[in-house]
Amino acid sequence: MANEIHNYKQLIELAVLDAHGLLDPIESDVFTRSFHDAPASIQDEIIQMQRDFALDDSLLPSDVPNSSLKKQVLHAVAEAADQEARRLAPLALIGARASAMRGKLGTSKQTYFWRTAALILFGVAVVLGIMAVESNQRATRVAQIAMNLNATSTITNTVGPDFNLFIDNPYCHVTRLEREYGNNDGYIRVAVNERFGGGYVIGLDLLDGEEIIIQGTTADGEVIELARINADGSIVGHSFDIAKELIPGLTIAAVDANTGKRWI
Amino acid sequence: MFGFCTVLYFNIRGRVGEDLPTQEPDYRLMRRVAIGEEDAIAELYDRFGALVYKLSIQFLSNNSAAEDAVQEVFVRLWKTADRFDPRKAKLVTWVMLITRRHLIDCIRRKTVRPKSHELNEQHQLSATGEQNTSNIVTQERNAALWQALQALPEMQRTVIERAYFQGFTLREVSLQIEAPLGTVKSALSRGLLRLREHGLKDSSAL
Repeated sequence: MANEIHNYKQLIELAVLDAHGLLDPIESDVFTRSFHDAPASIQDEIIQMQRDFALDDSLLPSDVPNSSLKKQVLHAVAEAADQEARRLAPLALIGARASAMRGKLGTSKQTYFWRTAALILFGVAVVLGIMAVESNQRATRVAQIAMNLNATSTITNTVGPDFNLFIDNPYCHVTRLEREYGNNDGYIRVAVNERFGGGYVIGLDLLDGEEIIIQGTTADGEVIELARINADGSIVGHSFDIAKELIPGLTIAAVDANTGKRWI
Repeated sequence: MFGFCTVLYFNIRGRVGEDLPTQEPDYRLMRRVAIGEEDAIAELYDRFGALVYKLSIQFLSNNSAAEDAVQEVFVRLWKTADRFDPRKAKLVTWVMLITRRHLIDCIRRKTVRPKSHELNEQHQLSATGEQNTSNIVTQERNAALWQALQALPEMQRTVIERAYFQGFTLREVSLQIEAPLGTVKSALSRGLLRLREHGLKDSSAL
């Protein structure tokens, strides 16, 4: 009981820091995971507390924005959307080529039979996977880290000291990747050092045996492989090389090496 | 019995185990923002633009930089709109979290970080009448914040100034003041809670 109260107090402390944007991306992820595992009553308390912090303007200046700012905001978002569409065009082409290839392969009765069999086997595997004790242990492990106020140190002990060069580094830009389709299991974060080059990829709570390819699309539209991670534990991570000249305008995405499913 | 079991289940599992409330108005709004619908972005601005601007002014202390920051924040909101999950946070929490993270990034990227006594200096400048009316109002509001900070124990004040207003990472603060990271986090959390209590007390006194 005393331990539960201790964990509750730490969770509230982390919630305050999270609401103020003071947790680094990795700690924010582990807080989210811990929040996920908390009882509904505590989740409600945290949601309400964070909302109160967000709405509180008692110590903010009373200035009001210029009336033209709204137009500027709309223009800035529209411009960013155009740029993003241009940058992602090469990745979209990759998908189109794959679809075209699938179309050429055609289908037969045998194909349908094997697809149906594969789907059934996949369903059985998913159910078994959900029930697997190991999966629970992994979730518990990450939740325990979230409860630890020194989460970063704990992660460093797991993935090694290179992690320290990228986390909390003001020159690093961190990209958050999530599965394009399917459930929300797992996180991937990719940090690139915009000033000196180099990067770090970390995966949390990935599915066992997953192999993920981290891809970058440069400002010139060239798609390059930055790194690969193999999920052989609850937390996996390592550094990778990338020249600083390639970083401006770099768009990062990931793809499952086995299934081809994308992370964006 | 079924009702009891349902309550028990959600108390054990937490609400995030439930399905996404796709009919929830804020969720629908952010889906529209995610696909770049201009009306939706305008609605988001109407609801939160002023709050985002006030926080930007407090962090950056200049109208032009604050306006740039507001535009950048809304671009970030558009980019991350599809990640908004109403089971985890209210929309205002999400918007202000993105805003605070962006402003802290802005401060971290500056070559020269603001000094901890700048809030006080701004207050003194306003008293000499060297600034225009708008700035004086801003500085008076920051003076209220500065006074609230002074009411905190030294440790809590130091970590808030360094981590929140100067953009140092918690690890950097921990090294600077030679205190364990866990102690820094606890002091920061307690200090922010007390600052909010101070602000609410002042608001209710008006």
